[in-house]
Amino acid sequence: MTDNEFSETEGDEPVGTIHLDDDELYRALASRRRRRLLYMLLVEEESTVQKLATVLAGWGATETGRMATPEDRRDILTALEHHHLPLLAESDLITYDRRSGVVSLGPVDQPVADLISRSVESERQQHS
Amino acid sequence: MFDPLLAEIQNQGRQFTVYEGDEESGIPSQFETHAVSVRQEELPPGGPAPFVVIEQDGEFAGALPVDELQKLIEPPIVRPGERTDVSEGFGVLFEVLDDTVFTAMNRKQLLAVSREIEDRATRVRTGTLRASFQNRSRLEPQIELYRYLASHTDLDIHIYGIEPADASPIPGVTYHRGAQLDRYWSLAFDGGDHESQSCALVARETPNGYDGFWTYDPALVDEILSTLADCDDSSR
Repeated sequence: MTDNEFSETEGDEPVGTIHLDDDELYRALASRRRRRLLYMLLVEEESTVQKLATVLAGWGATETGRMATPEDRRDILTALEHHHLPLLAESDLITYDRRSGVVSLGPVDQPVADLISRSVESERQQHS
Repeated sequence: MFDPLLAEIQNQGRQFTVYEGDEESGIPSQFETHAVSVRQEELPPGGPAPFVVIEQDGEFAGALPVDELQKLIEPPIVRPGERTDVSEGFGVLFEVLDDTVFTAMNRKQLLAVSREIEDRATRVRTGTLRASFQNRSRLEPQIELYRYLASHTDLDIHIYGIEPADASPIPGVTYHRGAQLDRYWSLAFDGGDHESQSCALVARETPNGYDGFWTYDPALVDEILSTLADCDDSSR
């Protein structure tokens, strides 16, 4: 294999890549909101705290069937900024730049990415 | 003459963002002709059901599942409670639905809307009807209708864009030159004894046709009527 786009596979993965046997991972995933947030980052890789709060508010509305209000979103935003994002950043699952509000997914290996996807997707199946 | 009003209608700072997966909701096209800009964001297949985020002036006003929104916009439009105690998101949504359609229009559409306004005036038979014509040839096909309205109804009729001296006089019709209105195609009817019948059209000629809006909002119709009345010839 040459040093091309495949260079981030096994044996050559970025330092600090999260694996299934990292204990921190399970603490990070022990919240529906954080699982959803990670799931969105798996798709987008990078987002902003503002956009994450908006999408989580909309996601919540699809479950209640009601209009999510600006207060709902503000509560989510506060919880993200003060609780969920610092916790995820501490486990190295994300990087979070407080000043710009940019949130990026940290290096996770494929089994971890699958676990995040499955945890969110199974939640939807249970609902439907 | 109507440019400030047109700008106000077109840009009201409202934005809908439709978050949806592969299955398209059709929401963007349903709002195509409303005073709101609509964009789409993609949702991953395992994510939430589709929803719409409503923003006003860049601020989040609400988010609603697409299936709930569909229920709300299918006629008859059902509204949860009184306007005053519903959340901001509904406020913006209902403004968008109520108001006023700003869109590019061709002559055929403009004629259809104009006929609708004239029809309403014909049925109500009271009130004020103001109509601007860009030139005399545009009035020709309608002249018999206006003759009928003038003789068979109590309507107060004002026609703009025609030099009074050049017009064939019709008792009950007042002509105004209204040179300021040359670029516009506009009709407004105040609804007479039935305010709910008030309606108006304002369109502006562009290199590609026309753009503009029509409205059934009495306050807006009123504003359009007074803009037209400002163009009345002082020598009446």
